[in-house]
Amino acid sequence: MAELPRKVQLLSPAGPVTFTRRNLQPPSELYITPDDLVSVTANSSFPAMVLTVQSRILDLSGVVRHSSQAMRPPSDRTRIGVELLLGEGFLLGLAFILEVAGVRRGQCFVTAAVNSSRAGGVPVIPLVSGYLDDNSLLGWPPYSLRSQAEEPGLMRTIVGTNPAAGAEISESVPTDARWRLVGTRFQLVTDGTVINRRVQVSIDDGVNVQLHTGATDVQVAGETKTYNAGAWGAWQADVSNQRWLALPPDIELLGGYRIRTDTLNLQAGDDYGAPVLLVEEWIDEGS
Amino acid sequence: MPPPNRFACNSCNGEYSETSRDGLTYFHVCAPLSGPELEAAGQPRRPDDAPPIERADKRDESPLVTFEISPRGHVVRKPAVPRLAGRGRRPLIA
Repeated sequence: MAELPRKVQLLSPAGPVTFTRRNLQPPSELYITPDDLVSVTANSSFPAMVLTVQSRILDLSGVVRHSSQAMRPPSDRTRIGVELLLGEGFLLGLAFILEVAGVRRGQCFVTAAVNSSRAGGVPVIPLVSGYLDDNSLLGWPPYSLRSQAEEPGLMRTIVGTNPAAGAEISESVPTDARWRLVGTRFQLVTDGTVINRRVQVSIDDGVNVQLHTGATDVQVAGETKTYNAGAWGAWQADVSNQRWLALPPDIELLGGYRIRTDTLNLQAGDDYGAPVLLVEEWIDEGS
Repeated sequence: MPPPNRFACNSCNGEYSETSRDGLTYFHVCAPLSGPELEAAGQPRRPDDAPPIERADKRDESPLVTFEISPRGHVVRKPAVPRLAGRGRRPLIA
């Protein structure tokens, strides 16, 4: 008679966690139907931008599939979009990966949403929107929906157009951008015509003047003065050849708004130099 | 030889760099007419704080994006063009 196997006694303790292996619920709440696609958009001011969208989906056969889609948004901040046809299954994850270095916050804004053709191709489930930069990761999950105008933006120093003699300074906020004007600095060289000039700064929306401020002192013939416009909080006396113009703090300007000089008694031989602007910039589509 | 980066506007004669120091594209837009420019055109100077008067040949390099339908029926984004070409621009040799 054969000997019955003895009951084996495990000497190591049982693990604290056990896993179910059958009839599992999918590890995602987001089911993609054949009528759905994932719509991805990108706006960028960064030159030669390349990014990829990585996705991971659990299909109906239980296989996890990966896909990658490259995007090359132009540097003029206008939006481009792609539609990802991922097939039917559970969306497990989506990630935006920068393929270039040096991108700073405020330069590249991306969105992803599930669109349904049954709903007319409009987004039915927003997944993620936000700025992509060298120092952060962006994707889904979790749901993270951020505005284009959310702080902080991109700090920029911009050297504008050097006007011809007898012309005024005018700098326009680029299309699809928003600026917070921190300050601006420019120089005026006056010719020999004996008359008092007064430098004034106007801010307009391309048509309507919204702000008009002027220097306290005039500039006479044959002088070179540098004007500094910013939110000083108090009038300052001229120091050497530096003059001061007061602006309200935190002026936010939309695309097409202008910062320009409007000079009383400007002469044909008077010559402004290129202005230097310090601004905080966001992508602001449709502004 | 790299493409020129510095240009003069043929409409207002302003000079500018197409690429800013931070690498971003600069979009030149002509200033409104100044007092001396109005006088040169035989017009009176406008009163202080009056609405600006734009030049007839204004150049505005802000990007204008248009789309077209491809032969296969897809919407295709065309390359952006200046919103207003004005009299164009000329490269400045450094």
